[in-house]
Amino acid sequence: VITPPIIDCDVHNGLRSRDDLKDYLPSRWHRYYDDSAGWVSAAGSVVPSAPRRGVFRHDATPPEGGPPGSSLDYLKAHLLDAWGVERAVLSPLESIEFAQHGEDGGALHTALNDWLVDRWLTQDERLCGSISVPVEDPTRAAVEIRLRSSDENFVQVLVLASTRDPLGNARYRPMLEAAADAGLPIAIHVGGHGGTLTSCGPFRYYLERRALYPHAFQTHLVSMITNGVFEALPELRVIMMESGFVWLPSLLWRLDRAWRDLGPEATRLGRAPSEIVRRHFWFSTQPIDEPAARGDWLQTLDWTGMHDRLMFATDYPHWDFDAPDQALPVEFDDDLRKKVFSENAKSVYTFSSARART
Amino acid sequence: MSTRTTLSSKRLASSLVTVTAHVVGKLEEFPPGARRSVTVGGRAIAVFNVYGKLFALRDNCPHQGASLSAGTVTGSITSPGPGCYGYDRNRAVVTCPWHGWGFDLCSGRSEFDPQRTRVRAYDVGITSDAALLRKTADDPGPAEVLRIENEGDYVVVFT
Repeated sequence: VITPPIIDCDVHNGLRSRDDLKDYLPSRWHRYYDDSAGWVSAAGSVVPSAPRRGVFRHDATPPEGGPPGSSLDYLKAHLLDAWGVERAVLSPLESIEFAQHGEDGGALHTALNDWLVDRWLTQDERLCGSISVPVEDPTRAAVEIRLRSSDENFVQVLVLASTRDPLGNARYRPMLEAAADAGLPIAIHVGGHGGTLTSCGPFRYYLERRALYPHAFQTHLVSMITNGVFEALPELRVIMMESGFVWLPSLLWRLDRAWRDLGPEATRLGRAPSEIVRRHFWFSTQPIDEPAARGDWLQTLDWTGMHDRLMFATDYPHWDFDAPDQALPVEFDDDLRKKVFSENAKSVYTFSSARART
Repeated sequence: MSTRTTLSSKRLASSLVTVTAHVVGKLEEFPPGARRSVTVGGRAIAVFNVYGKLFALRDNCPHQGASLSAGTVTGSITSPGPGCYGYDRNRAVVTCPWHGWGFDLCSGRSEFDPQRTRVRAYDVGITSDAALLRKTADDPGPAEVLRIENEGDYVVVFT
């Protein structure tokens, strides 16, 4: 347990068994759900390789069985109690295996959100959640966001980073607009169905995927800014989750220069891109970057000027978990500790102190 | 590969000059395949039994402190050159349960940076030497006192 109490903004719970979703899925979809097991995932996979024996920590399997992250009791003991977590934002990643279009995609995501509320978010006051949406069907995603917008159990909208198009593309606008209207940040998180992740095509190894994931986030950031998303939706806030942030200085230096030199091309962009990033973006820490000279980490944070925007995350129970008391590459002073472990998350999330409990 | 280290009184006597012997349990509590964390002098030490051979490492990964005793023990993948792979089952490697760093169970040296990244390895052996057992049972702090009931084989970690 460390002080101050931490807010863990990236925790992954999941279905104990695939069938558990059926309690929340209209019966007309059950046959489809059974028949499509494994199919969407196989068809949409962009990962030709995987980390060692799967994505989970090898010491996080619940004693009663089931995959890591599938047991409420064990997640409470193994993460929340063990590390003194005050709030954990749950992001189930089942959407990766769900259809992203049409009625079926809509029904699956609605069922998943109902399951999350019923089995998790109303069971422990430390838990709050992400709204899962069919990202590639943005109108339907907007419907789901509006359906959940008055439910204070949800604090963000989960958008998996491997989209079919960069998020500044106009077709995603209804989804972004619904989030802005609901006052909920969009959390762009590793995972998804579409893009190549790199700017040049597929890679061979998981190691490459892991090292190059910032490409996807950089693409979304630049796309949203240059396509005027934040001019159209001045209330929209974006969290880059599992993206890293140390690449930000060089990108912003270059992007600001491009804007100065080529601004007339993107006529909707009235402010320097770096100014927009500092106003609209937050970043999570995990997987924390580990420079050879550890002090360079703080130097880089200084270059970004994002001391008020960096939020601690464990990514529990995934294999690249960051331990709250061990992961930091350098000592933080008290002020930075408070910001990164707690205050910055409170600045972007609306946590309800008196949420209805069942 | 059931090499079994039996320690003579003489070796123990000389070891005690520079190191401390800690009886950490009966041998049958560490059967082949066992990976157990024991506390010795306030330190967590992971004791492994791999096909009858005992190993002991500090039970904290030098990266972020995960328990290596919750890791996976395998042989070692070797590659003498491009396109050639081998599996050396005579070397034992533990893979950290979190970020997958591999450590040689014998030396504690990491797979990816053996010179600079390592975890402390301890000598470990088996003894039934009554003198040693009395000595270690009476000697160290209260937390480490092990009640010796009968003659038999005991696992000893040297720190």
